[in-house]
Amino acid sequence: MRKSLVLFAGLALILSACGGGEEKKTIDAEATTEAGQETTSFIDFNIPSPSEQFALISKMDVVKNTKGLHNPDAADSYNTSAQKALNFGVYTADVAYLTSFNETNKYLTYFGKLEKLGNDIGVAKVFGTELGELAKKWDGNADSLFRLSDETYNKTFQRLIEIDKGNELSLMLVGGWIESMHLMLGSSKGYGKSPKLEKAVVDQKLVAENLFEFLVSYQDNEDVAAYAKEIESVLKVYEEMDCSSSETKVENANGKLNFSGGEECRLTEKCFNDLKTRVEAIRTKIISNK
Amino acid sequence: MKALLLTFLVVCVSAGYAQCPTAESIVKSKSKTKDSYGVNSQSRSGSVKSGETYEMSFIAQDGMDYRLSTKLANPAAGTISFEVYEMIVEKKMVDGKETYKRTKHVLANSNDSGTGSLEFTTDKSRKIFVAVSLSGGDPKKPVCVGVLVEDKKSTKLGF
Repeated sequence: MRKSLVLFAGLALILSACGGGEEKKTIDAEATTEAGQETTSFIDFNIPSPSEQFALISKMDVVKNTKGLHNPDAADSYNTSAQKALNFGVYTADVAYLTSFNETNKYLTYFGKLEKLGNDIGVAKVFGTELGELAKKWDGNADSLFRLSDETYNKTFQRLIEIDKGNELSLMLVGGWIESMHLMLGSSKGYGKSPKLEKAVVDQKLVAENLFEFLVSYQDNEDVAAYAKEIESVLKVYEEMDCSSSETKVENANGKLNFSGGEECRLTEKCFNDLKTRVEAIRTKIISNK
Repeated sequence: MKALLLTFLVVCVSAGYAQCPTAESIVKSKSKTKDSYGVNSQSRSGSVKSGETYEMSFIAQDGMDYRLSTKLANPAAGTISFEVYEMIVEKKMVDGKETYKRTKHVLANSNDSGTGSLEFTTDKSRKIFVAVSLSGGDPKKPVCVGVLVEDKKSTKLGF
């Protein structure tokens, strides 16, 4: 199992200190070092699957935007292992979006492309014959296809760990997250008109932070290192948010704990637009076959 | 002979770095009654030795209920305890200078659950850390531990 060295010193701390108008401060090196010394340990960082994210977002104040999906025909144009892993991630987000929004008519086309790229990056075992048959059997059944998409993602994740392909896994996660952000932002009715979605976009800062930490573990690979910098640039945009903090409270209600409080951030219009620009630039880089 | 020795070494090294089974296969018993919780993709497993701690982080999303369960692949290999925490960035004035310090804020631990499982809900998405410590057993022998994250959509009561 991959283990990642937590490099909290520096970046993570800077990222957590999001902007707050005049309150916004830059963390100096001295403070950063102090924090880093306290928290150095090995941690496995994780992010939710595209299906888990779209399951919630599809019920929000959004517009369905299937035009934003990547062209399935482009799957045949990728030559390098990095391109294939990145775009495998892109298509996992696309199938998650399709099933979350009950758009199952294109499912088999996208699933076929996933299978092709999956075979190329070494996870043919995940697909076997069973998943392909299930995709055909459940064609048109959004709930079943949704579960199939999630299962495909999870099995691919596990398989890439088993066969020690951390670089491909890292790139798959990047492709999946950038496509998820692209589809999320593209499903907005416009800044200020989809407040629930905007809250979900704010939450993506946490996902980006964990994704970045995951990538740091594989930064020896130059493709992973390059995309770690891209994710870092998105996190930089998130610093434009207006944030305030309160103490996190824990209440026990009949054995179930309720966590409340903590950091609260608001997406400014500039931050929203800058995020769109940055995400689109990274996505263009990912889906181009250069 | 050399080939045989090489094969033996490869097998030994591979065994040493053997992957742990999935968290789901470690934690979930086949006979367990089905409920409304489903396995979250952020569940993980890892190896830990006695006296050490396995740590993972996942994103808990607003609008979901979570159940966290931890278990050793080999329950006889020792005793585990867990801690659920988040990292807080605090602003402090030190010698008239504004500095930021990251501190660990424990939200819950195994004593709160009593069963090895912990159920929680959150009013907003947050980054959760889980630290599982192993005590007892052989300090030289790594053991697989599973951290199973399950979720379901929150049901809001009231009007």
